[in-house]
Amino acid sequence: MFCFGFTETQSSKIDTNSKIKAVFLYNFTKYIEWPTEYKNGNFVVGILGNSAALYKELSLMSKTKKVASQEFEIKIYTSADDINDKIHMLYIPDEASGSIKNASQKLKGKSTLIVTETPELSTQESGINFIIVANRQKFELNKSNVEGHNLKVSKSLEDLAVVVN
Amino acid sequence: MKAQLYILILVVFASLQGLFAQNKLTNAVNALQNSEFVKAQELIDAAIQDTIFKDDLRTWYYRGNIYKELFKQIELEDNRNEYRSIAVSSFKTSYDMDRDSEVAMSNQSNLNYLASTMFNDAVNQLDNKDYTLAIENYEGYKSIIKFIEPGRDFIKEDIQFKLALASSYTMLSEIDTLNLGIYLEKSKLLYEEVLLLDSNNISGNYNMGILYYNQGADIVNNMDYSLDLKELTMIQEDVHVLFSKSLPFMLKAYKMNPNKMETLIGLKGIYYSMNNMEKSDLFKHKIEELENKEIKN
Repeated sequence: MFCFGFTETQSSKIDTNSKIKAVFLYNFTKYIEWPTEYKNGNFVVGILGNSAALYKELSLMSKTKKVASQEFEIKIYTSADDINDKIHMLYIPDEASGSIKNASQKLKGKSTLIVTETPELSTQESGINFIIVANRQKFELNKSNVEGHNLKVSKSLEDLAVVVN
Repeated sequence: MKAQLYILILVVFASLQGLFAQNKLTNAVNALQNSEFVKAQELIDAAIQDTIFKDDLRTWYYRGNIYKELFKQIELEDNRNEYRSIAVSSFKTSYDMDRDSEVAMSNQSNLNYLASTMFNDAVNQLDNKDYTLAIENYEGYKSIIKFIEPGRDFIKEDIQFKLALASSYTMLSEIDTLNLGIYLEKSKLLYEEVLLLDSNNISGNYNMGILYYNQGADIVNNMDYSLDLKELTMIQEDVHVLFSKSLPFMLKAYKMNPNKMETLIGLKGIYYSMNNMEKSDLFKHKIEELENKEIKN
């Protein structure tokens, strides 16, 4: 007699956290206003260090989404010293958190939203810091840090965030 | 005188009828032996209508054999199953008449043979995604074996069949995405049945865990990037429920076999998706350890 065979179902390869972060990042572009001089050209999102999964997600997003008429451009910076462009958003993964001071120095006077994912960074140079609350992805907002980069924060974003100063 | 004539006519008629019936059975057996199965079928079907032979277990035994041969002759025609079904019922009838008769053993082995063909058909039909027929044939196989061995335990076979069926439904859900929900629900029910039969079944636990995990991951994967933050919060709640449901099954599979790579990968993913990086990293290390062990071996 034959026998019944079956294949084990493989677990999904989706990096769920990166997808959720990408949705958050896209939403931040809706709730934060950049100055006029940042409203032309590409909307540049930089990633400091190695975050392949997030880069992949943001690259996928860039194929279908825009910020008003601006196309997304996703860049990877291996070091804070490489940041010389006009960038709208800089994502600093936990592994690269040691470079935040350097990155912040490079971005001084520029309208760049600094997004991090390291505890305590929101009280330092970060504008938005991803945190985990009861196993869910949330974010802290340091309004003064964001405004310090000449960016306007919508009240709606404040309502959704854990506000820190 | 007239009465005597009538009696004589009746006696002659009855004798002729008996002879004719006897011929039908003998001729049916001869036709069977000469591989004239269609002729044998006509003769034997006539014989079972006859009061002289319908209570003779040999009539049913030969009928079973004739229909078994007809079944074997045909591979794809629709009436193949009908032939097999008649063969089965005939052998059963013969066997029921006397379980110690000279043909009892042969009835049993023929029933076993026919049951095995139903089992094989079920396997093939599952491969060909004919789920309804696969279930029918598998149940048919069980029904025959139960008839021969009333106390027979089918737990192992049931588990294998249900796992195979559930796995097919899951694969189908990936192709026929419009009916994804229906197929996943069918898979889930089957895994539940497997775990009711054996709560320690590794594949049942693993697949149930993966099913919930993948459902959550698919929801996240299908989110639009422009999804509102309030909706994102709600979705995070929904997927967290699915990941939480997945976890105990996957942990059970891990407990039953700590070296199964798929389970380690699953647990790493579940904990990662639940933002429990410490535990996700723990299973990442276990995967690396296992990979290193496999390389050394």
